[in-house]
Amino acid sequence: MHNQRGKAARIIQYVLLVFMFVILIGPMIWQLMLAVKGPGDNIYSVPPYLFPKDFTFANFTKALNAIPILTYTRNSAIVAIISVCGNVIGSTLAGYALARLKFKGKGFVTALVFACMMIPVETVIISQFLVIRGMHLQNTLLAAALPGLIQPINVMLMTNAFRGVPYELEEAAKVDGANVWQRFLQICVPQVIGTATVVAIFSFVGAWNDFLWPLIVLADDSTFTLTVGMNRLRGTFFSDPRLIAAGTVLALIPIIIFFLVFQRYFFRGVEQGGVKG
Amino acid sequence: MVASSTSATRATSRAGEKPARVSSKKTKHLNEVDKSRRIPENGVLAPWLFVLPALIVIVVFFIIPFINTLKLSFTDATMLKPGSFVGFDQYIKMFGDPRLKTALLNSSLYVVCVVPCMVIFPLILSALVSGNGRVLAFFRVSFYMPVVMSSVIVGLIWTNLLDSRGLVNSIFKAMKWITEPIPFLTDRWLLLFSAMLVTIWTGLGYYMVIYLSALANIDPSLYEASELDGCGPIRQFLHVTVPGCRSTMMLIMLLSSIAAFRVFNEIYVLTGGTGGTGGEDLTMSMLIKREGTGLQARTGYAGAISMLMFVILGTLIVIENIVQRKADRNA
Amino acid sequence: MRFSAKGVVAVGGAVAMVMSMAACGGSNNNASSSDGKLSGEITFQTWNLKNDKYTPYFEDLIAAYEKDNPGTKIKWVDQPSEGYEDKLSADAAAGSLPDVIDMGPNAAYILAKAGTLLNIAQEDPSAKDLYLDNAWKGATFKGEGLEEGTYGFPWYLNTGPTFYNKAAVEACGADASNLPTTYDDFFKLADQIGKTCGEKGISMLAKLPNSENYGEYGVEMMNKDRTSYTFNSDKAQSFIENYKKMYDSGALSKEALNANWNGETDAFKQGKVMAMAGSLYSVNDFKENAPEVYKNLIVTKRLANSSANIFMEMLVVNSQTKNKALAIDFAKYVTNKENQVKFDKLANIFPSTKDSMDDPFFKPEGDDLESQAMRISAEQIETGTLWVPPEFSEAQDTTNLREQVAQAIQGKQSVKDALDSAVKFSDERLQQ
Repeated sequence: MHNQRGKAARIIQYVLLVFMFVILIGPMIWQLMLAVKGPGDNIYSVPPYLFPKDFTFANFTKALNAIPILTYTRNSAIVAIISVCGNVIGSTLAGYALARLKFKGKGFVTALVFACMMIPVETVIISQFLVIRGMHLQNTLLAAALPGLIQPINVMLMTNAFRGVPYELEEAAKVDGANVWQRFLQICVPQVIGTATVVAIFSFVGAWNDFLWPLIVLADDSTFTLTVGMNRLRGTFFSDPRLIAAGTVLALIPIIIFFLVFQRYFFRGVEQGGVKG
Repeated sequence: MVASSTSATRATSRAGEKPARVSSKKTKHLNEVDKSRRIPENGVLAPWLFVLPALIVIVVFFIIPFINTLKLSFTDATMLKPGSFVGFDQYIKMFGDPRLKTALLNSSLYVVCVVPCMVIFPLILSALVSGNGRVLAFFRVSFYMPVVMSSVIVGLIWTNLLDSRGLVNSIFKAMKWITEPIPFLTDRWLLLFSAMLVTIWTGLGYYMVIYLSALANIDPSLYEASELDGCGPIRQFLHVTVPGCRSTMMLIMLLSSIAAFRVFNEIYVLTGGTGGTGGEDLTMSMLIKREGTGLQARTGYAGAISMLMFVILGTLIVIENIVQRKADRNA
Repeated sequence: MRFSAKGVVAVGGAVAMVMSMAACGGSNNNASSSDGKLSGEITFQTWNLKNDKYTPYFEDLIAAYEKDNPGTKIKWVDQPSEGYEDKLSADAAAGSLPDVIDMGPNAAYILAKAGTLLNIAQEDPSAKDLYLDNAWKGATFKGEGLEEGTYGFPWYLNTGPTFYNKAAVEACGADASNLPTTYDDFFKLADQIGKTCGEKGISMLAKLPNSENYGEYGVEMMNKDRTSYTFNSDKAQSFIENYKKMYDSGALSKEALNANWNGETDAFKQGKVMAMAGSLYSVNDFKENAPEVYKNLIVTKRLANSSANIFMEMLVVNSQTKNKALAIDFAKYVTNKENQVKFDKLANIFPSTKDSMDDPFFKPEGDDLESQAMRISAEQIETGTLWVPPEFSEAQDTTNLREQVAQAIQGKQSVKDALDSAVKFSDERLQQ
């Protein structure tokens, strides 16, 4: 009886998953198909059709030739990696202190982190630009990564993760005479690798897709990131939707790879059968 | 205020997430021990070293610029003119602006409708995709995809779907469910709900990932125990998964409330940047962007609106904390 | 902004100064000696013109200039299409605008009012004779707190025909051989066939009036002193009333109430729209992306009671430039007749210089749709007007006007109230 119920549940689970897949991924496939449609395809036909009649990869070649995509990709990768490092290290450190240590002013720091999430970016972006100029960093990739280097939301996520680490683990280490840095590195950090991966993914995607800030702080082709540079596919007088679609598909590839590689880390806990301890 | 709520969540998280391992009595005992040893072990400096990097970035790039915004809100500054001190004039003007009422209503409705969905649906989704095997891994990756798509593409896709002659209306018509197209993108309320749909569509994958990392921390022995007790998957979800994710649910409630109140992109892209027919679907962030960016920006006025938004969000978070604490006490 | 800005701007300015000194070692700051030897370095910023199609043109242009003027160096930067105004405002607020900048009259007006741009009429009075009168006038601003002057060199112009979809025209029951080219005739036709169009699911138009359409209908947008707006006149009201009638009969696309330009083009390509204003690029776009519509395409003069609208791009010179003589000379060089016509041929747009339209490129003989569209557009360049007041901003005024009008068309407020409130909104910003 138990087994049957399990089977029924499995079936319902997969039906739901496929349903969600269609809803969440259908539009993406549409975009991909648009990118491989050739001039023989009427992309404005009513009703619209999904599969190309005039299949071509030419849009990708055209997009690759039209703009220095390699330079842009390299710049985006540098900005994204700086952002990932900054966020993972910075919010892990801060999250540990906010979750596990008691110190005067902790409430104040927590309040500041929360407050940051409520600030409308639109009103501070010019001030941020002035700060960057004051540091003489305009038109550098570091500047493109700086304001998002340690994001409040990631600090909150890490704080939440550290709170979930069983206290007796740290207590045992304390008895063994481990100091706060040892406890942090050897006991607590291994427990929150999953959330740290989530932070890595979020900051990678965030940095990769960010548009307005890099646009303002970067000045020319040598430093443009992919999202800013991809804009060149949009013509001043006329744009080809297929070309833009091809560009966006190309820009997605690195993110998908990054996610594929790292998703197993935040999932490792379950697959290994629980928290190590 | 946030500080006290923090310790409240912390107590919950321990009681909630690790019920099998740490009895509340033992926790209390440990806390007392902590208190006596804490300072010599941490040092006074160590905690500050931990938070220092985050603190520098936050203060330099957010707090100081925002204090600047606060100062500006008492001036009549524009983007290219520093302006002079005008006291509370911008605030008075703001409360007489009919657009503010619209924006407040829309943003608040967004919170009320979107937040419960963001707390519950991604949790169900993450329970569905958690497990071993390549198939589930494939679904996990797929479901995250809407998050990584640029908002422009998302807008393009959804306008094509929801247009009065778009796919959804075509299907409904073919099914003979409707005779007149449903004005998803032009009706004041339907547009708002369409935008919520898009928000939920992208948010599912985002919050699913956060939940997945929380699920990984639930003690598997709890699942085993519940299975031995004869619990089906639904009861298991309710009695093991949900309690195990409590503190994460709370966090997502806070995060998604802030995000929902600040909604901008979804409405912007669905309307081609116009804020809906007659601007009736303007939200707080859209109003701030309209007044506070561009060459003609009225930075002083935008500053006043930003302050209002900041205060509202702060209040919202405090209320959510109080409600949460009450719920914990009753539980 | 200002608080932290003050110190930072000073620092930024100092950096710029050091950089320009290092680069040119004492540049010629005297603008009047235009026959004097030019030297030094400036930055020239275009807007979304760096791609495989235009890059060679600009590289050649700059190389030729640097060869003619040894000792000069032009640094070319280009900004992406999206977010240009955000980029300009950040640079303007930080005092880091380039020396020569490509922008529209609207952005130029705001920057001129902030004292950021050079008055070309004052710096180089002879320039006036080189450009078309309507273009020069379009770059000439006056108003409260702004000395009357010409705050940039006119650069390229653009205009285009109105396109009709014959299949849609005939489905609605109109005569495809006698299509309206004025708004008056168009609205008359709408009275006759609007209902039929609506029932067949065809929109006669798929866009609310843009700011330039008011002028094309015959509405005066501003008073003579340019101190307040006047688009709440009876004329303007009748304009909007006509749109409302179309909307009520179903002949104005519902999406038009919030759609942007792309929405209109897409709907037209899907064959759901009868008429649309476009550019020379539209013909080829239809040919490649909407073959059905292309087969049914009719090209006519741009819909207007008065005269067709012209769009203009300008090259402005930063008033804080460290090398005024070079910046002015280079901007003038880019916008001279020869260089403009060369660029126009490449980009399918039009020159703002005098006596440039005689080039056979603008007067094609053929009977194909491209040639028709070119002939119509070329004629409009000579007779047309820049209808949008430079004071009337796209981000603020246009959006607000469209929102007010949309509410009136839906019957949520009267047309008069809508226009009155839009005028009040824009007047307030004009005086800011």
